[in-house]
Amino acid sequence: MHLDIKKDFPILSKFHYLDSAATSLKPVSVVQAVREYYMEYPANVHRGVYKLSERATDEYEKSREATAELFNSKPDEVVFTRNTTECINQLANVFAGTLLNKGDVVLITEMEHHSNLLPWLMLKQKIGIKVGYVKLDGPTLDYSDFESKIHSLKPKVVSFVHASNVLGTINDAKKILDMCSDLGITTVMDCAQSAPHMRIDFRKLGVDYVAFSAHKMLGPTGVGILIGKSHLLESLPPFFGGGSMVSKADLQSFIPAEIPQKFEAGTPNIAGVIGFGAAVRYIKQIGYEQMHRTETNLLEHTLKRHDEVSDFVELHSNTDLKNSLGIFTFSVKGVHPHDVAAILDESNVCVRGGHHCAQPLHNLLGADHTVRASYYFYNSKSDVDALFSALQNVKKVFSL
Amino acid sequence: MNYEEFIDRYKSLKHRGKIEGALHTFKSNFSCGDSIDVYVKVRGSKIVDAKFDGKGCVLSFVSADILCDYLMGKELDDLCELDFNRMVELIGFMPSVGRKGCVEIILNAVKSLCKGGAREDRRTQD
Ligand SMILES: Cc1ncc(COP(=O)(O)O)c(C=O)c1O
Repeated sequence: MHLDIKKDFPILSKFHYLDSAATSLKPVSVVQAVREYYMEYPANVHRGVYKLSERATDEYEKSREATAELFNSKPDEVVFTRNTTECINQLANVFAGTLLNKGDVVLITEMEHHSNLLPWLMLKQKIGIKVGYVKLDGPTLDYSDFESKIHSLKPKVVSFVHASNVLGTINDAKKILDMCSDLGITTVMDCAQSAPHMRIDFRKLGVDYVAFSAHKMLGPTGVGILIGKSHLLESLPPFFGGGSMVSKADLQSFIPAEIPQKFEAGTPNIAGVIGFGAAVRYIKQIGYEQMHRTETNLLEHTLKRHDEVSDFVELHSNTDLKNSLGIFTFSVKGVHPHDVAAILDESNVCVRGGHHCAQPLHNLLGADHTVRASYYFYNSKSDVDALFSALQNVKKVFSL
Repeated sequence: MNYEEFIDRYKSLKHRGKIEGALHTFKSNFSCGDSIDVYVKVRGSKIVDAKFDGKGCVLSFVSADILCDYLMGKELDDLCELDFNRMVELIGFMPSVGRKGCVEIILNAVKSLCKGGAREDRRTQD
């Protein structure tokens, strides 16, 4: 089937959208799926026996199956939440007092987004766990530090970002998971940035939990996905109590429902999950290979064009084409990232200025904040070129 | 905002700096991490000098410079009446939602110098 990308993302005819790492654009088919739910069968799921409700349940569960297929997991290993942040927070909460007690170590990295830092820091405050950090070696993880900390700190949990939203670096998940195997360590991967761009084979990787967000991979906002090994999910307590998560309740006690229902208390984001199903189908049609080719070409072109402006544009992100997402993070010498972003906006170039929810990483980079352009398969060379000509405007305005 | 209009002012800020022994306060913008220190020197009840320093973008610095200008000769208690609308008048345009915080940072800093709740703050560097 032939996809007409520019037609599927009409916004691209008006804007150079280079902020897909914050949230991706949504193709027409996703918007249509959401609309169809609200217009044609807007019933609750798992509750009614009438046709509309059955259709809603059916479509909702089809999204779960499509997700499981894309990630090579079982459908009952797929839990729908609100976003990556919620997935990691809920895991941290249910680990507290079961898997994690005072003095236990959670090992993360210096590359984390706040959503894989704060939940653990909060457990540190609440129950006194310890948080260890794997160092960076330039824009990549220091794998020997990783290995030595696994042995010296003896973490109960290793939780790491699969791909960095600032550096673009794709971490070697296989290598890290191999280091943890046979040591009884629970492993968690923050796949918010990787899942939109690369195949993640849950079964083959052997990781315990992965978390990501629908909205960064063509889906609607308000849907997060947690995939966990079924026997582990079965052993965890529910995240919330309420409707849908219980198989039996009386005034004294309750028996939780089976997985994954156990973790989906209350009415979920039905439209969002159904929209995400359409997003997964779209990704399958494009294929990760084609995405990767396009994005690598865009990054390569970016690095070439950067050479022309390297006198005033300092590059912070990874330049290793093989192990990077299409992310270009930079600073313009002496100019605040907000001002860079605002001037680029005058040319309808949409980039993000700030610390990108990774303040500790910015401290390491020696920058309070940076500007980030992030690509997805729907971008083209003309978007990159627009970015670089708009950077010339920044130079002009500030007489650099 | 029109950068061309603001850039000249940005390049020759009149009130950037520090005043030893003046009322001082510090505010930061949580979402972007920028921060501004403001110093207000009062003689009797009148403001005789105002300066600011810190980390910020063109809009936050120019807003700070314009507000410091405005403060000269005002009564300290007049600061309580400052609000966002007055800031918009002073800078001459309505910032977009995303840039509102850049203007508010100096406004909040200056206002905290007159608010009862910030008395501690205003004495920090007296
Ligand atoms: C690496 C990484 N992890 C987690 C998140 C959080 O995603 P969400 O805001 O959808 O919870 C992001 C989003 O910016 C991210 O880039």
